[in-house]
Formats: sequence, C-alpha cells, structure tokens
Amino acid sequence: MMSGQLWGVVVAAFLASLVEFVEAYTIVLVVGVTTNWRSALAGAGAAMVTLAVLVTALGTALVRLVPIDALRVGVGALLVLYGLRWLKKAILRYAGITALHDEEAIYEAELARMRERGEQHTQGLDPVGTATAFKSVLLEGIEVAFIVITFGAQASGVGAAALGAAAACVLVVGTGVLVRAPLERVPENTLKFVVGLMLTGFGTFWGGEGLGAAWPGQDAAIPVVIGTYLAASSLLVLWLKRGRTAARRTGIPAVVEDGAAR
Amino acid sequence: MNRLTAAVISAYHFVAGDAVILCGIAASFAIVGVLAHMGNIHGAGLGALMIAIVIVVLALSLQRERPR
Repeated sequence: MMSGQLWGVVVAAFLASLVEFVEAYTIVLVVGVTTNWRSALAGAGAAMVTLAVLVTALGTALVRLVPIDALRVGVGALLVLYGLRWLKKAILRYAGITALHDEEAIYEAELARMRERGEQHTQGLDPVGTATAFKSVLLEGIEVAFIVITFGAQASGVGAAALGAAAACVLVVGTGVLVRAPLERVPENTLKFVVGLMLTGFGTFWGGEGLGAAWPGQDAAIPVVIGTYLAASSLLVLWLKRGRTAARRTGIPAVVEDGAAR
Repeated sequence: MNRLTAAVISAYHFVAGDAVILCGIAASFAIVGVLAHMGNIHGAGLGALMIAIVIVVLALSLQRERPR
C-alpha cells in the first residue's frame, strides 16, 4: 500500500509528464496527419528505443550526463526551420500568390495513373517527417525521464513517479487516437498553416529555453507564442494581399503555380 | 535514382530551400545565445526577442514573393 507521500509523487509526476507527452504527441500527430503515419510512428518508435537505451545504460545518471539545453536548442532550431517553411507556403496560398490546389483531386488522379501503370501505392518513409517525430519524442521523453528521476529521488519513489508518467502517456495517446480522424478532414492548407504555427511555436519555446529564456508561466507560454505567430501571420497575409491588389492594377500577373514559391 | 541519392537531394532542398529562413534562424539563435551568455537581457526578454526575430525572418522571406 502506497503512502500519502508516494501518491503525491504519482500525481505530481502524472501532471508534469502530461504536459511533456501532450507536446510530443502533438508533433507526432502533426507529422502523421500531414506527411504519413508510417514516418510519424517510425520516428516516434526510434526515439523511444533510443530513450530506453539511454535510460537503461545511464539510469539516474541521465540527469547529469545528457546536455538537455543543447538538445533543446538543436531540436528547437530544426523545428523553427521546418515550421517556417510550411507557414510561408500556407501564407502565400492564403494571400492568393500561390494557387490553392485541390489536393484531393490531385491525389486521386495520381492514384489512378499509378493503377494504370500497375504500380502499388505505398506510403514510404519521409526523412524530414521521421526526423521531426524522432527529435520531438526524444526531447520530451528525456524530459519525462528527468521528471521521473528527480520527483522519484526526492521521495525515494522512482517506481511511483514512473507509474504517474505511464498513466499520463496512456491518457495522451488514447485521447490522440480519438482526435486523429476529425483532424484528417481539415482542409489541407488550413492544416499546413496550423502545423507551421505549431512547429514554429514549439521550436521557439524549446530553443529559447535551451538558450536561457525564462518563459512566463513555463509551458503555459506555448499557446501565447503560437498565438503571437498567428497574429503576425494574419497581418502578413493582409500585407501580401495588398501587394497583389496593387500588382493587378498595374497588370502584372500575381498568381504563380505552387512550387515556384519556396 | 536510389534511396540514398533521393535522401541526399531531399536533405539539400530542406537545408538550402530558403536561404533567408536558414540564415535568419541561425542568426536569431546566435544573437539570443550571445545575449543570454553576456547577461544583457534576462528571462522573458530573450523569448520576446526571439519571437520578434523569427517574425522578421518570415516577413523578409515573404518579401521576395510579394508582387510589386
């Protein structure tokens, strides 16, 4: 039977890990919905294996040996790079500078052409998608391991802290499975816009943390960072639309095919 | 084209696809890192500066595509 103090460790580890699992699962979900689930799960699986090896090999020494800030800066920079490129494409489409494509029609036509040629449609591993899922799950997984080790060490209850973290993982993954289907019905450009905002927001938050920024409210600052990017992106769409309107008046064609704008 | 070549080309396009974004983000992380190290700006100021630089980088990158 667990003491009140150990139950306290379970609850504290559950709540702290819940935030980290939500962050990791968000990125996996984003890669799964926008790239493909094979890449998302491969990245997440590889990260969990790496994490298991690290935890098994280092044990509680993990807290001292893994340079968590350097990891945050590296992962943050790559997420911002990836996120900004998606955000830029989505903004150009919203502003009408890049033509909006009917992605579903293009997909169906491509599928029909592949069938005619007798080819099988496979969803191969996307290197960028796999790497994004891998980095995020590894970083958040290490943070969860830090929580379990530090919370558990304070009350001599690593097992109780691990129980709390495992419960948080089950809750987040279970909820994620339920929201997956509705997300897949969101229009493609809207999804890419939201994904661009989220990746840029998470990347800025983690990168800033690694560099020494103290975010007010800690993880609660993430929605504020994403909201700031949303406001700035909306203003940029308006700015581009004004440029397009002005170009139309002077007779310059303003719409280009997708892919020309990178 | 084999898988390795495709992966190398994909990585090249990812890194060099938009030089403004790549250089801008590298610069923003470097500036914030140096300021944090020197102790000139503390806490939330660093985060706010980082967000501002990222928005400027995005605007500069979009500037190239804006019809004139």
